Amino acid sequence: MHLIKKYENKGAEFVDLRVTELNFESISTDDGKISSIQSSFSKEFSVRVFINGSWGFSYCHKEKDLKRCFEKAFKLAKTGSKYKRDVFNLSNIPRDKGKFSSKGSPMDVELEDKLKVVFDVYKEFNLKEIVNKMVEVSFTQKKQEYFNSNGSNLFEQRNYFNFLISITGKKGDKIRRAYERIGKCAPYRVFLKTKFSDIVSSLQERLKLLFVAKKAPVGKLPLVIDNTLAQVFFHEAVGHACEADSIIEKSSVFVGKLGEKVAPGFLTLRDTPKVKHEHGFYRYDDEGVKGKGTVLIKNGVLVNYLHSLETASKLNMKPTGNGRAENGSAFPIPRMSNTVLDNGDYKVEELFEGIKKGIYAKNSSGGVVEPTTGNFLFNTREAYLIENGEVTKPLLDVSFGGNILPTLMKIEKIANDQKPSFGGWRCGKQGQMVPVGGASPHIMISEAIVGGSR
Amino acid sequence: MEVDKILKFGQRFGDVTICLTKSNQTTVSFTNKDVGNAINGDSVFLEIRISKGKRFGYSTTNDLTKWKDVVLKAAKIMKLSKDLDLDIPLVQNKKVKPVEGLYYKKVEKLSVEDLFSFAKSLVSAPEKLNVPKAEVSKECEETLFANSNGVFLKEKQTTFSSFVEVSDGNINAVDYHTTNGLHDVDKVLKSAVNLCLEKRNPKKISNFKGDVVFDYFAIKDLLETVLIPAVSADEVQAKRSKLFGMLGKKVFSENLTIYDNGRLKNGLFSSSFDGEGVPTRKTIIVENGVLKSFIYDLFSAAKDGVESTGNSNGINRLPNITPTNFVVKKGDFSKDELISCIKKGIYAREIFGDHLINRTTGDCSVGVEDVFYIENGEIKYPIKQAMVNFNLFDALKYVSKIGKVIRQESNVSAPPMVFEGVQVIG
Repeated sequence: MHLIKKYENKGAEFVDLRVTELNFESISTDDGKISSIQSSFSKEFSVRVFINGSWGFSYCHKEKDLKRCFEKAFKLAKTGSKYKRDVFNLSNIPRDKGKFSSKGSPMDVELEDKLKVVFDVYKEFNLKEIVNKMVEVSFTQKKQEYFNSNGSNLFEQRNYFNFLISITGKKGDKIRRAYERIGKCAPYRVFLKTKFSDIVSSLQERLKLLFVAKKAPVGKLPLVIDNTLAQVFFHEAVGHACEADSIIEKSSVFVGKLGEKVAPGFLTLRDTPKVKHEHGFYRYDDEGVKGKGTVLIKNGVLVNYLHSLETASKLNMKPTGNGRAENGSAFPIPRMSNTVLDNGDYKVEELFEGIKKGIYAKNSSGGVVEPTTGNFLFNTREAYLIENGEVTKPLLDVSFGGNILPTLMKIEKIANDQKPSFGGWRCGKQGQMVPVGGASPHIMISEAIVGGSR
Repeated sequence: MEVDKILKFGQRFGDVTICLTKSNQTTVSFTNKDVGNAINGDSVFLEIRISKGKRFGYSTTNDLTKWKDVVLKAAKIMKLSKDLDLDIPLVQNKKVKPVEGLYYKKVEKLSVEDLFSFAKSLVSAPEKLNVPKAEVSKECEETLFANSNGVFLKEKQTTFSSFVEVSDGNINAVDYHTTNGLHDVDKVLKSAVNLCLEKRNPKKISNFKGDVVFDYFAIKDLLETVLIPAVSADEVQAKRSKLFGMLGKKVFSENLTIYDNGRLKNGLFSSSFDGEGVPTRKTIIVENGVLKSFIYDLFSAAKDGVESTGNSNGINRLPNITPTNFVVKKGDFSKDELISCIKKGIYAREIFGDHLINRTTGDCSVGVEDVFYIENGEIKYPIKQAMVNFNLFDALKYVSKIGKVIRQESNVSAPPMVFEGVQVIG
């Protein structure tokens, strides 16, 4: 890229260019009727220039504007550097080459075929209490080229599919809803292999239980958390606090905690993009850094943060391949990929043993964490009462909360049944949404504040 | 790109609607009182809808050279889709009047240097306080709307925003402001600094039932989550709204008047036409507590046999309804007066966990942030952590004290108000 060279010669310390192409298709249906079909295509060019610790970033959508885009980014960085107080250098700048194309693009499949799959799902519903059913699918293909002034030249293509199946049922005056959301970074054939009949029948079973479900008790109770909810819990409560920008801004409960014990000794947590077909999969981040995976908590001790090139340079640590951007008009910032909790020693059944009264919390319908204070609040999608070591009555969705640091120390048991969540999660931060995922075994927390049901 | 060409090419498949948005945005951000990055970019978004009878297809791109592909894709999607209940309405060529205070040349002309100097003043907090993050940005957006009925509309809007987070090492406080024209960023910083200082040394409280002064951000979130869907015609027609069948009836306190005004001078969500090219207007939704109207786009209006209120959110879905400026009429009370009426209660600036609100029933069981304990008409101290429990529809039935200072940072333009008899969980 001669433009990159040109601006390096003009005094830029670092220059990079991303060319991002996104293809998107979605089908939404409601009670067997199409409520919307959408398709979009976009291509963006994004240029970053680094001078004296200050970044200039410019993007455009026409290749012929690229020259102007470089000039703008350079000027922005130059202007910024005049105001810059604490100058720093970028270190550990990657230099990598490679082309990684995924086969089985959903964009090679006709819309008719996708519609057929959607309408076939409707044949599986057979519970008479159902008053409304919804099926939504979407497909994304992302292609990205990456170049930098250190000689990197990368190409990566990824394919995604996401779907939602939702049923609402009515029995007497009770209206209940059950839904499943699944998303993978995988070829179209994996989408076709989905066992929709199994998903629908388990949703129907869940709906039946919701008709007899009771409100959850309120108070401090022990909790057994399933794979999916545990993964969301670690993402929200621990992962975000490990993102190095929040360390630099001192808005994380993990500030100054590196090398300290933050969790029980049997707990090891990592972030890794390399979980096959999981939503947060990638080979390189949006700054051309290879995503090798990072251990965050090793045997209970906080050992690392998640970095972009900038945060790693500022904190004098190694980049971890977590500099991600939602699209071409977004600046890469430290983000999680897949949050993975290592297996423990217990069988799942053993997690329930000895619990007199507690909650078995499954699947998440949302969570919030206040990063500075560490207060969190989660909602389940499915929950049961635990009485004398046995899972007994179904409960309406339960909310539970607490504070990160004390709650981590209250994790008593980790099971040995780790599996990916495939929940199709998208995580929002500073207005940017990126696909994320993870894997976790079941866990047992000795005490959390259970806030009842809505 | 020639609009006429697209219209002509598309008309072989049916009616054509085009929406083209171009924007240029510049942002300057600081971390820990020091320069972070400066961003500038151009975006464009072309949306094309082809419709015929009861069917439509929709497709988009940011590559204007590909407009033919987009038309073909939209036509194909139309063919594959199924019939809706009604014919797809298409707006007729009507006069639209421009709205005052949408576009400010001095915002469009702001240089990067100008933004840096705004950002510099935004981080000039007292030395003992840090500013982990500050951001100033300006945007200029041009929208073009055209259809095969001969409608051709254009509009230009500027926005200027500032955001600042202040920290004393333990307590963080955030404020931000967005306007079409320029605003005083020092005020935004000052408000965040004051909030940060006021929040120091928080205490715990025990559970009680009392009155709550909800300030703008809390009111905004509550109305967006519960009330706006409840007055949107599509939700009413699907009988999901609690206000279904209540038109002409008294639903809230007589102190409450709410309207949607797409023509509000300097309104953040003002425009002379809506997402379907319909001229905007003012629609009284609740007048002295009586439900007067819902908000409609063309499709939902046709269903009810009424006129669109100019509340379409765009051509991608049908129906597709959004408020413009959703205004709660101001009352007579200053913030101090609102607080002075309260024997035992709290002042809450924000709520958090809006996924814990039941949108249909209005049952709210949410966390509150930036909260202060009130006793005998005075703020006593900040509160560490609290939740509140109430029903929004019930609370609005009994609202008697409404503030006289209106703020707007989203569609909602509203004053603070007092909700009585709220369960506060410490």
